[in-house]
Amino acid sequence: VSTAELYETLLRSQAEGMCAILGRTSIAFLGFIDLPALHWLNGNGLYVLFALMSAVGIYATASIPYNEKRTPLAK
Amino acid sequence: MPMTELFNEKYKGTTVRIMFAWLSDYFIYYGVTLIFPTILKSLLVNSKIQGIMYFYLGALALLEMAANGAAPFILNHPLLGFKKGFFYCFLFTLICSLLIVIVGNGNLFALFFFIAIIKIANSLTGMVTHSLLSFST
Repeated sequence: VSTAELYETLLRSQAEGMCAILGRTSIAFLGFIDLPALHWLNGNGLYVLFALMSAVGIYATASIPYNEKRTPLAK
Repeated sequence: MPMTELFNEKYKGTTVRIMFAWLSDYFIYYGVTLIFPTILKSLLVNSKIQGIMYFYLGALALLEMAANGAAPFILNHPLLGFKKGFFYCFLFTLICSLLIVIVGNGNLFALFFFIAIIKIANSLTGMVTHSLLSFST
């Protein structure tokens, strides 16, 4: 493993810490929408939010600039 | 090492995308874990089979364990891998969420079925999210 790869792995560990904060933030967000979400859109509010968040996840992953072999994807 | 490097020209795109993916993953995870039991309780409030809620939540926990166990095989599969695995799991979650909106409202069996698929897909994406951060290993 080269020094550059180790450096990048370390950076990604820091990214994990920051992303984990975002993940935990979602709990607070859920706290705000908890009971109202049961009544939104005829009781479907939570599932619509699931669909929206999944769409965000799909876009984020599909457009990520690296694949699993760590080579830049062809544009 | 300054954390601002996560947002330099080289890493900015990856960092932001992983953050959004992580936020979506955890939002759905906690939605199923924290809010779904409340929804189930409200659906079963006049039912004589309220105990089925706890049986179902236990079954979801078992499904999560199974999905976590299966994750390495899916991630290492030559046809899927990390990125496609993540993509398809989110896609399944999206489809099942829409199906719940269309047919699951009031249909307990359909709700159980689609939430179970969401739980499996979400557990798999959780494992992939962790793995995304160690591509080089």
